[in-house]
Amino acid sequence: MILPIGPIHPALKEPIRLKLKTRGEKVLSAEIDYGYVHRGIEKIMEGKTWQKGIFLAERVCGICSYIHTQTFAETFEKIAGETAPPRAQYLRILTNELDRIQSHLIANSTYFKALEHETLFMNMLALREPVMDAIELLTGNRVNMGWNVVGGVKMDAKQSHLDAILKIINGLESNYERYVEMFEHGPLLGLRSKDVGKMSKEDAIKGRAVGPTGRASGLKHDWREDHPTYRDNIDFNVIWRKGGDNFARTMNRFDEVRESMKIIKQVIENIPEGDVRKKIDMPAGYADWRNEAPRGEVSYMIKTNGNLIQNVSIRTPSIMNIDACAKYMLQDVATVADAVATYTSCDPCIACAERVVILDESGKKQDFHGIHNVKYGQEGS
Amino acid sequence: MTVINSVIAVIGTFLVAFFIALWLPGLERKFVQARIQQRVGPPVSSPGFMAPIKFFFKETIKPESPMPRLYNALPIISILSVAFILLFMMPQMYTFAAFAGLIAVVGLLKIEEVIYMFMGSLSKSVLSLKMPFPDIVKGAKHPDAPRSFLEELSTKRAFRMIAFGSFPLYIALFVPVVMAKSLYLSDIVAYQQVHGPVLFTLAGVLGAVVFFVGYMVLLNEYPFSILKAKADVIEGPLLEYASKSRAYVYISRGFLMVVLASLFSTLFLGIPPNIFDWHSIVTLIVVLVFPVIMAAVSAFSPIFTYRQFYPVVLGSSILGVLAIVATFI
Repeated sequence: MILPIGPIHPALKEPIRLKLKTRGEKVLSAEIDYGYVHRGIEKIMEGKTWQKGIFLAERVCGICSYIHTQTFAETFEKIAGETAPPRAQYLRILTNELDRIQSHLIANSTYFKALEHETLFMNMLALREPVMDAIELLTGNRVNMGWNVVGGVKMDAKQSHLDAILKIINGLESNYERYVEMFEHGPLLGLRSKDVGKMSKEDAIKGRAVGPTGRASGLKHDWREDHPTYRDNIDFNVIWRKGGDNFARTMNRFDEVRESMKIIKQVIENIPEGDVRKKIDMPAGYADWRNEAPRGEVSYMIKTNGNLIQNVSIRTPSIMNIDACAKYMLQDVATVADAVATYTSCDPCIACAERVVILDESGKKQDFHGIHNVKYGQEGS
Repeated sequence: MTVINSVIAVIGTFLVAFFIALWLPGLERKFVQARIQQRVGPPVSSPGFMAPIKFFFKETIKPESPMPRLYNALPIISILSVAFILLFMMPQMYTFAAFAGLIAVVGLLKIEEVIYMFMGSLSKSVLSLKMPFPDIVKGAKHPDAPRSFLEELSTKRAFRMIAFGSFPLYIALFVPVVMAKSLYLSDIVAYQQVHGPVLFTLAGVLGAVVFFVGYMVLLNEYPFSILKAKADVIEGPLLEYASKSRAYVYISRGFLMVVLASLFSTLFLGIPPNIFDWHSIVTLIVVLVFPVIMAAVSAFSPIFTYRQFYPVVLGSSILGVLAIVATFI
């Protein structure tokens, strides 16, 4: 039998259809249908200036909206051959890590909701709230921050703001461990999470899993290691595990929050003085840029004529993680409830994932900046 | 005069039980779960009292069901079966010996359980029915696979619950029976008036623990709420209930909480529900304490799948059997 979960279902944050092929309670395989919230953001961006495009980039994702503006801005900075001033770079890291914390906490809260552990679900949201306050303190907004511009960030942060953020992080740190312990050592939660939805390292590579989902399966890769500001100024560890199950994915996020708190402290301690924005003359050109979003690698490929955006391709982490989840995690799952929990454990973001792939049936080689020229129907002919 | 007194006692007890039943869900949600989760929680009257009133005034919607009238009648049947248990637990009704016995109680509880199967079979929710399926246009791989409804899965779960899920409760019910050597409630109560409450024996303690597990299973409370798990089957068999029918569902659950706790009080403490007997204050305490403990347990538990459910039921059943064996010691 095929059991449909979604597109409207309380276990799903966003509309998607999860089709589970079942025999009794056992889930044999899964298939995922997209297409319910496609908005065509890349197409809308075409012909607009970067000043307008950056607001659209922010709306690709409702949870990790920040990293999209940073990646968008850094792609343009790469085209111009410039970098943001050092203070702006530090402020970007600060915002990125605050965003990562809130994203991971909401991801784990959703997972606990899928397990129907209401207490931890509520606790995660309660932990997230001060972090959202910190983001609001820094940028003026909670979700769509409008914080990044090409060449830096919009406003400087006062020392009193940074002190307040540090206080929030210290407060979070003092409460954090007991909630992590509740999950890590809770026997019932362990029973529901360990050895459920396993994905091996090999499968993670084949499924192109990224971010905490990939790292929980043993892929020790984090784009922050290659980002110049992180690489040159910040001391941090890439969190990874070998488990590959729901427990590993959730714990990986918990540990990454801890690492993010460490990074935030370093940033506030070492943030240099100076400008937060510089004027950039934009030439015509093409560039791509990758960053580590909370869910994994996000990449932007942008072509501009110096004034207007000619072409944009965005690749978000969720599309790869959801694909890996359907192909490898949701095979031979013991129960439907475990399948839903497994799907939730890979932190899917459907608004992110709703991108268009051009299936070029003409057979002619066309330039779509490398990722979209899928020659449909050409293989084997 | 005696007959009139009995009628007043039965009606009075029934009304008091009904009134308490309306407040128990609020007590559970507001004062236990919300406190554990460090939030304010709903007004205490909201989940059990105001919500049914609200639903009584909602527009009546025809459920997506092949037999909508039968589907809407099921919650009323559920309330009736639970009400009959309460009725025959009262001392004034012990003259109806055939009904005031454990066999009748078990039978009525089984009706309550079987109703979930009927509900699940008769509910065909819009959430899985109305969307084109399978999505051949989008290149789905299973064009020939028969489609299933979320409620069908809950029906299968309800069947398993009947088959083994509620087993611990029924074993626990027979601990006082073995001790009193009678299936009749009157004999079980009389036995305890002479020998003291069953609860104060080793067998009674073990039986009480098993009874409580069964109480949670029968009420479909976390972690045993697999029948209506929001993560997959959403509300399961109850998915299509709206307006008055949903109000009956709410009332039925609250009422079942009272009745099961009263049953415990009758079987393990020898105090049947009766407003003319001041000992019934103990029954009231049991009625209030059971949901509090249940809410505390459920606040710290994720929902069980069969992998966790089987061992818990097996363990509880073994404990129940040990309790029965302990009655002979």
